[in-house]
Amino acid sequence: MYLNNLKLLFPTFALVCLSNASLASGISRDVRESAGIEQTEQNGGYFELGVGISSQNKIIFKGNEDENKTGLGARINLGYQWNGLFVDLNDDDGFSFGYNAINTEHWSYDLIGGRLLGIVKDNSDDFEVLRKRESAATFGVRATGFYDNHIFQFEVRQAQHDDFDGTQASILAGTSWQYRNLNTHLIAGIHYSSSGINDYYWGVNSEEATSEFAEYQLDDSVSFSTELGMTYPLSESWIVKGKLNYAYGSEEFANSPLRADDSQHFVSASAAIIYVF
Amino acid sequence: MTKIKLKNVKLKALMGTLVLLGQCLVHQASAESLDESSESLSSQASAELSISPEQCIALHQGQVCYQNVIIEWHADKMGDYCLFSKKLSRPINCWKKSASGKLAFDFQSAHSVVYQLRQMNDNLDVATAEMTVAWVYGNKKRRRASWRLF
Repeated sequence: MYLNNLKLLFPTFALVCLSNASLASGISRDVRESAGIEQTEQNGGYFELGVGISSQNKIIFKGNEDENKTGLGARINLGYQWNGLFVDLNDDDGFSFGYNAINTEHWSYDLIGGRLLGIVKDNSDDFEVLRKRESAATFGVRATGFYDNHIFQFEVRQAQHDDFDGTQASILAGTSWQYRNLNTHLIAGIHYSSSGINDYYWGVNSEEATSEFAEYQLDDSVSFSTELGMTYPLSESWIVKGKLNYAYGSEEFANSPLRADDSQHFVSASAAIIYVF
Repeated sequence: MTKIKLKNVKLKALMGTLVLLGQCLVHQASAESLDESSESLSSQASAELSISPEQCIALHQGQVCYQNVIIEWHADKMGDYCLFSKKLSRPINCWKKSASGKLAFDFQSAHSVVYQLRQMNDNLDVATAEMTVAWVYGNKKRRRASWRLF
């Protein structure tokens, strides 16, 4: 169940309300790998397999309070780009796909799509009485700037769903540096999510409200995230990597009846050993 | 007609003699040269140079790779030896009147480096060893890089 929660944290928690960079920063992989503008234009892909351990200070969903906050899981990172069309699925940045449309000396512009994961009864037994919060597609534009070891990213996405519409936006800045063969990176971000998205996923409408889930409406929200990560090469094919994330979530999100508590401070740590093909 | 034939036979005999003489001279000269070369080889030491570890792994291609390494050498003759890298004209370290040596140092390079043990009396390289720099993510091996699987 913990892992299910984590999966949800990536796209929903991250993109909808908290936007924990841990959780889908968008530039995490590029910063970790000190990527440059030249990599954005090349055809090809990556594939990595590994195992990792993660721990977080908070349980997100009501009803899961007794669950373990630490878990072991597989790490599968893969992505491919062909003539500008790309798809990425990795534990740094979550899932995204799109088209790398324009590249200048320092900036790369993408048309990007992704997915907001739904919140359903599988996430918590307590949610059986609630309406199903379905997954939704997101589409938008992303600009990524590469200046030496610094990467900046601006992104705006529109969520597409019959029952709601809303906008997400984020500004991220990341930098990386090397201490001997240890590669370290730091990312900070601000994330905006409009009321339409917040309310659909974390609000409780009058029809589903109960004594346990009081009616609740959410407004627009802004959250902040930081990530400190490290990567160390063991051989030409094996790496170990770790990261520490802190996110400050919005009050809107903290007060949602779906939440296990009203904390706005989220800390998570993870480490993994990865085979790079 | 007969005179001409006789002249031809004499000419052929003379040519044959000259060729044989030439071959003898060449043979003698090369034998002398071989002797000199053997003398030179016999004065040159033979040595073994080893580096441990032999590889430094960086995360990205082009990054400076850091590795604490130990270089050891053993020669069959006592002498003055110096350790050079192909990147530097001055020696990294020298040993006087020695037949072996050991050096620990902090390797820092973005590229592979060849080390040479030089016998200083003759200024001859007697052994070489290479410290290889490898990496996980080459410039064409990540997000937008070629699959190694296929």
